[in-house]
Amino acid sequence: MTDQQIKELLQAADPARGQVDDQLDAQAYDDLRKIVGTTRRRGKRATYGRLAMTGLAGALVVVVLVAQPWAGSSEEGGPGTAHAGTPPLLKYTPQDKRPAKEQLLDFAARVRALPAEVPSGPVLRLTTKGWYLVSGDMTESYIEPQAATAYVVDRQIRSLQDGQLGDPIGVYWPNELSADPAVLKNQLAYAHPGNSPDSFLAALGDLQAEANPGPKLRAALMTLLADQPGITADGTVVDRFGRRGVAFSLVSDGGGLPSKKTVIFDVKTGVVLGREEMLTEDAGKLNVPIPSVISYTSYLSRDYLPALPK
Amino acid sequence: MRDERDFAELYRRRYPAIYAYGVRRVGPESAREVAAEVFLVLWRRRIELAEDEELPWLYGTARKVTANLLRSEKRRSALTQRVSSVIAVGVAGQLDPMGAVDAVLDVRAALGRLSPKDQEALLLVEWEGVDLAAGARITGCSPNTFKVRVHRARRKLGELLKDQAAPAVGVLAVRKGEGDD
Repeated sequence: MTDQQIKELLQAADPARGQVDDQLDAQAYDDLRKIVGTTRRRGKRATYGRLAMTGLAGALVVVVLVAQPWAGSSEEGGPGTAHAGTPPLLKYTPQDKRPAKEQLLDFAARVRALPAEVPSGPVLRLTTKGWYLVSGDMTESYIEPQAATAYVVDRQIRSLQDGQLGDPIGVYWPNELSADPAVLKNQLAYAHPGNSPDSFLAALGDLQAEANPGPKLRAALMTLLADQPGITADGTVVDRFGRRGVAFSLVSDGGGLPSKKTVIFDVKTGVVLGREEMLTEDAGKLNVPIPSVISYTSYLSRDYLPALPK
Repeated sequence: MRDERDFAELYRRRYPAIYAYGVRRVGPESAREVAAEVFLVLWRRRIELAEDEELPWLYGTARKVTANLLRSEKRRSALTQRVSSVIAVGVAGQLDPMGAVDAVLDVRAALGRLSPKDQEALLLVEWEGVDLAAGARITGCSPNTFKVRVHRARRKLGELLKDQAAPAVGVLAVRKGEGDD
């Protein structure tokens, strides 16, 4: 199929086709009146150039002012200067002084020896809870952590939204993910190309949200994590849901600002309990203190059901 | 932007593009909200934009506002990116309930199978008509990375559509021919 054919198909599938008029309608003019009726920020005008230099213009890492249970914003002089409330930092306790790679490979060997888990039904149910920051100071809304449930069956994922099952979405993973780290690395790269730590962590995160990796696969993931440049060991930690884990981190600036990205494993099974991202050096123009957690995802449960819920 | 008159002129010039962006991602009702929020940010932050910077900035802001909107309305879940990537597909279906054009449905379904970043890059180029430099600026990556995403998305979409059904292209071609008079 040629690029031109794809272009024509996409243009035919454009949801805005025939929906948008070049002339503004009454509602658009009404919105304009409301906008110019609001107060403008005092002080110097900002420029796009300055924004872009901070990396904020397209940063994935962005602000959401968060509500409970940590919604203690502090006012420091009017709108725009209050720090966004962010989740509390987890407390990590270093215990093993060996290099992170050595610890992970040792951990992987122990996990690999665990007995395989047999699915008790065809439908995998996954529950998660997470939070992340979106959108700088442009939206001044408080957002709560989001709980989510997803069902995976026949390589299709359906998420539960407002009590309704969403449309199925195909998974990106091959039928059989390999427990050979070298092969697995290529399989993960199918959905998340590149050799960057961010690509690997994104793939790891997707896998946790869409599958239930067995012990051998978990061990392979740990081995790949051990090979990531700059991997560090944080020690043991009690996660946001009271579970005891062991944590390893990478620092990258893939989100626009340098951030520490942490993976927390269950101390016994090596199951990924959660992922955290924290700004440790520079908040750029984000309205958060340093250090601040800017996102987390906790994988709460994985179980099997005989059928999809009605 | 010196004053209200300049802002209003920019608003009139760019509103249709930003509203269309919203329609494609969140549907016509919420698109109003997206457009209003984007221009409100511009107004309140007193951001100076050269004319060639306007659309990249507005689309970049619309991208974030849309993400926030989806989240605040609890349309997002742990599968946030995947879910959001198919929202355009779902919305498209609502907009065109009678348009059960096989080819269009095939394209929308295939789009939903692209990775969110690849899909976003391709649609910015094909639907919003941005060039590679602007797309890179909007999505916060290098032009080369953006170019790779677009290329990969086209290739993958082509493969998916080829796998799904060759007649789909034919159906569209016929329909296109019908409308070309």
